[in-house]
Amino acid sequence: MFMWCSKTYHRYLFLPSLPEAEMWELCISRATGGWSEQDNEHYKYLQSLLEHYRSVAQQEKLDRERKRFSHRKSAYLSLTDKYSLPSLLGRKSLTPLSPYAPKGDSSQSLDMTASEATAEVEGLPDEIFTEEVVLSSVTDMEQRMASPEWQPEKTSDLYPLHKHILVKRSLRCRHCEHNLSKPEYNPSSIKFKIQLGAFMVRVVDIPPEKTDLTPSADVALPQGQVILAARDDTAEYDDQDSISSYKDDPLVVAWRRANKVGINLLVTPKANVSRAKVGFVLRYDYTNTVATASESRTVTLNIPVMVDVGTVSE
Amino acid sequence: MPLYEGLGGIGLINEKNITVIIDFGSSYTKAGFAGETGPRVITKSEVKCRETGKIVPVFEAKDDEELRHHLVDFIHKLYFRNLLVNPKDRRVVVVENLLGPSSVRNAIAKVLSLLFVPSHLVSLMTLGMNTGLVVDLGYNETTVVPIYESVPILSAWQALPLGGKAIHSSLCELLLDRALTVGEDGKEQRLSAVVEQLSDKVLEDIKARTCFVTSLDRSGRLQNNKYDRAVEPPPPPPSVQYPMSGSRILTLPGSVREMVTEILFERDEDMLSVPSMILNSLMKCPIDTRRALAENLVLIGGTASLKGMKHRILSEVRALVTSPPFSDVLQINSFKVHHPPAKDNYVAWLGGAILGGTEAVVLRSLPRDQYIINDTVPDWCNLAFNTKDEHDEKSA
Repeated sequence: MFMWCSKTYHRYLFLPSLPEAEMWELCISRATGGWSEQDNEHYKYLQSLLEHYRSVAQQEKLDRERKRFSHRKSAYLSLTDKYSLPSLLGRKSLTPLSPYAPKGDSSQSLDMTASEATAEVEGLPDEIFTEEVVLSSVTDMEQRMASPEWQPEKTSDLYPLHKHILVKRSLRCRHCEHNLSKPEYNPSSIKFKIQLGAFMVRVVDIPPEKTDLTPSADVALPQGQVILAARDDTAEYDDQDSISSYKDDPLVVAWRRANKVGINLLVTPKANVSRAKVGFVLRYDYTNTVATASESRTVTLNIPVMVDVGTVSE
Repeated sequence: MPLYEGLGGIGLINEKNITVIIDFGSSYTKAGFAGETGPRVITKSEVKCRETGKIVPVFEAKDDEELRHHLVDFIHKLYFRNLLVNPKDRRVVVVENLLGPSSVRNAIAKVLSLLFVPSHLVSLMTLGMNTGLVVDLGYNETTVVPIYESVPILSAWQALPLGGKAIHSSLCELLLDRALTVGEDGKEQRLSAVVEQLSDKVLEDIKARTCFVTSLDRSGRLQNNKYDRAVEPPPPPPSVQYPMSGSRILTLPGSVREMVTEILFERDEDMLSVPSMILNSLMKCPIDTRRALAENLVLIGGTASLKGMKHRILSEVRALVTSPPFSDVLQINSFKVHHPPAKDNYVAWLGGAILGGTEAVVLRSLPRDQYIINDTVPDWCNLAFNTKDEHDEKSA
């Protein structure tokens, strides 16, 4: 069964204008999981503002609760209200017990500084009246609005943008319930490559008239079988060759690498042919590690193989 | 089909349903999440018209029904293309101009369940202030609303259609009048001989990339030169070769580059301009608030980020206050401006985001079911919501 799988990545858009050195720096940092983000210079100040207004809103909520409460009980409270001093004292001592009491004194949580107005603002630079405008070095509105917090005016200040993928981010196969697509933030990570890499398989029908299946050479196949271990996905990412523990006939096995084995075949071309083509059947056992064990897990498969060995030299 | 949360839902206050903040502008719309330091997206307020299939501005519709269609499409685009979050059960704060049309307001309320906050007021929140004269230089118009101790002084509002749009039409006029183009054949022609009108997109691009607001001194000399040719005009800034569609090159004269924004400062038949709006607004304010307001000017809106704009407005205001009729009424000699911790065009949005990150959203927003029962949105100009509640007074 072949399946169409699609894989979602974050696409990264690089803007072409960054100075080369910087660009490389970014690329390198990306390989280790994303580039360093630009910071908003006002971040701290804005956080303090947010904190402040949160406490103000909290206070307002408390006041409302209290108002509702006092409204209901006004008959009882009116007595103490007449004698303002004790009621004040009483209230003060009670506040810590109230579940709605703000944490800490409200006036203390307002450690926000109001902005200072200035009499002067930055005027125009003098060179604006004399210097030529190089249009290619000035960003257009689209480029400015693409990074709202910075809105760079010069193309040299442009920074890479994150681009979100706009499709559904997870998808499972209906039959085997495996993840076909799953969000992963960094497509260059090893985890992504091993677990989440999907392969796109295309089924092509070759019309019979295009296939020439008559072999033009004889081939001597090795006797017996060549053993290859179960496929190991991580092997491709191991740099060093694992030392083979197989006792191979050096005349048959040429090399072993990761999940592959190379074998030597002796080809004898037939008389009067210019190209040598050999045909044989490849038989191997396929073990299904995915499906549930209801059926037989191991199947022996026979694959007819045609190999164009090349032109025959005199 | 289940909708999966984008990155927007990760790692902030109440992860699930973080409030969305939208500032609808006549040219650009800013949208993002509460508690963040900047909007996620600033996008053109444009949608594909359902009937004609053309891209049209959202708020230019012939009737309420069409406006609603535009908004539905536009908000859908904002959620599913830009913000990538599920709109269900999500609070929305809409930053709106107090002087905005009610039809727009009602149309937005039909689409979203939300909280409206006045843009001028929340802009002050980004500064931690509660008093200030907020001048919003937008695309369609410039509006001035003074705010004293967190209360907008509505009787002193000012609004004039002086904004990005006015600059665009002035730019178009000047270019058609003066600019030359060189076509493929190398022949020089007047621009007016080639095109009748420049598109808004081109005009905006020219404005943002090459134009600036000249200083008061130079502007004065340019004006004098207009009436009296004997007065030497200042040497114009260098012209710019601007590529138009095809291989046509447009030469933008330096004088045009510095003169396009003069339209905001030239006083019209009623002697009104942007600086005079500020002073008129001050004159309408109670006398004891004027000084505090004048020392706390806040200039916001996309047009304010044009190079030299703030400097020019400040110097114009200072010059104007010494001349009648203002000098008779206003005894103010100190004007100061604030520098909001944001780019000019999203200051109001940022105020909304700060407010949206607090409990106030829960307390004050208009729930959907209540809106369906009443079918109205509370508004300052609607007396049903704006009369003193006696019962409230007593219980307090």
